[in-house]
Amino acid sequence: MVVEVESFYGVYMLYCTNPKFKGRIYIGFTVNPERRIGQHNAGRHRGGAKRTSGRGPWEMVLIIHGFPSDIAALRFEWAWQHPHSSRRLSHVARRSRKESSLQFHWRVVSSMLRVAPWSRLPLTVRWLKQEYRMDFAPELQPPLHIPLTFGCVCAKTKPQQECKEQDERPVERCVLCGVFVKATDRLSCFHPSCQMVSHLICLAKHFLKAEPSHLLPVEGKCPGCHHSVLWGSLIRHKNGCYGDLEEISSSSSQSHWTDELQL
Amino acid sequence: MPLAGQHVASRKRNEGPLVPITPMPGFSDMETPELKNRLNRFGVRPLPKKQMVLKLKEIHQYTHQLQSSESEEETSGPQRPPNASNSQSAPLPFKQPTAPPAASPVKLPPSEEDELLSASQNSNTSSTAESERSNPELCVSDDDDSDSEGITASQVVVREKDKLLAVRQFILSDPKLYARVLQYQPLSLAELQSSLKAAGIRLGAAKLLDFLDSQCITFSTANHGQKASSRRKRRVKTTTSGGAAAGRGRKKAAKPSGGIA
Repeated sequence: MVVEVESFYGVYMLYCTNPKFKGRIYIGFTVNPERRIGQHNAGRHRGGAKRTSGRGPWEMVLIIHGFPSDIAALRFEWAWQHPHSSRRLSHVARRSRKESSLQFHWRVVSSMLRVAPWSRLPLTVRWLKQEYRMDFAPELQPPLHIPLTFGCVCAKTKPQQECKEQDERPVERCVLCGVFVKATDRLSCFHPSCQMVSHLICLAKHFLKAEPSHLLPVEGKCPGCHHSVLWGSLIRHKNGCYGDLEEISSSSSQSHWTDELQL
Repeated sequence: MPLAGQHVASRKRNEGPLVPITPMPGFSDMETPELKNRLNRFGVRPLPKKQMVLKLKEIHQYTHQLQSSESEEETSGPQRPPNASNSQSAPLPFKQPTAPPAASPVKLPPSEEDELLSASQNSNTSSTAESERSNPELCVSDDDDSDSEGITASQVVVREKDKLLAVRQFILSDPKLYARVLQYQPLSLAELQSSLKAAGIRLGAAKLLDFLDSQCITFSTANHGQKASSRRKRRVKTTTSGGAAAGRGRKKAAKPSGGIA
């Protein structure tokens, strides 16, 4: 089952399967992983990086996605490529002799997910190739809201949002403060049949009661249906990205093959 | 030995005797068994001869600095074996193993044994030019945000905490700004800094960046002027892929130049 994600920003890891360069790793950024791996393997004249050109074949084995902007993803990419120059990763030890490049890069990314500024981002760690998958070391477990998942992912273009839809929406009140909610600050729960609507800031403050020193919430209980929801998913939902929301609800909102049937 | 009447700041400098610089022994002219023996005293396992020579030189340099690190060890160190290396007259900055040394080498300052990051990226990655320019890890310089009027260290810390609280309050009290933060939209560091300044909160870029990082708030150090001029030459594409999607010719904030798929 391929997961489709709108507004995709990912940082990936390539593994070289050529015996001549066996084990080489490349870290890169993409908004379209399927297209990107094709470019890498086709060489620099077809859009691939110079570094990887002619040194393949490459497999895209791991991708971290869910970055909310290209800037966030690019900084992550840079830090992963240069852990010893990054100001946030001075605690990450250099590669030991017994560590393969793959293991080292996995260790680095595991460490990155645990520290600021990445530890509160709504990221997903995805192994694209089962054969290469590794688990997080016990002492390098990621933040609880960052899932480890497997399988292919496909970047999907967001359909044009219907402005009409928003104007025709009935006037709604925030469940937390009672005041009317404008479209620009409107958050709603994506769980099926949950009617919760609130202001962005009201819900953020509600979620942050448990973490008063923070400004950016990570997760909380929906005041409507009381399901635990990730802040990142709420924002994606607000922006019209319906793919790859939490696993609980994704099984109901993801398209089923029968949807394709013209009945 | 702390010297009475000395000002706090200079105490460190005067602690312990100054270490006379002993000339380095001729490691290069020693036979292998002797090199092995000397390394063994530091708990370092036998290495190829060339490497033993280099390692011993390194150890000698490291242990013969005119630093207080050695005198610190003096007060807190464990017993030293009486046959401490004869080539130095100062205590070692690292503990000697009291048990028979295992084969594990002592951790020393970076040597040529460092790992080789195979195929690790240089400037040819997809994001390079762009991200290095606006990379928060690289380009922030330290501003002079301190009004040093002879205040103590603890006062500086308190003032800084106050400033950070003020920044936090500033964000919370500005709904538009806070809404951006909550939707993970990047803030412009420069803009934020000047807004803060206008509100009477003077905080250096480096400290502001640290605060934003601690809050996991994305920011850009965008210098829009540079982007257009350093766009890399576009490769000739034989496929009609979505090259336009990369934003050629369009000025979008923080959009990286070529190579992004």
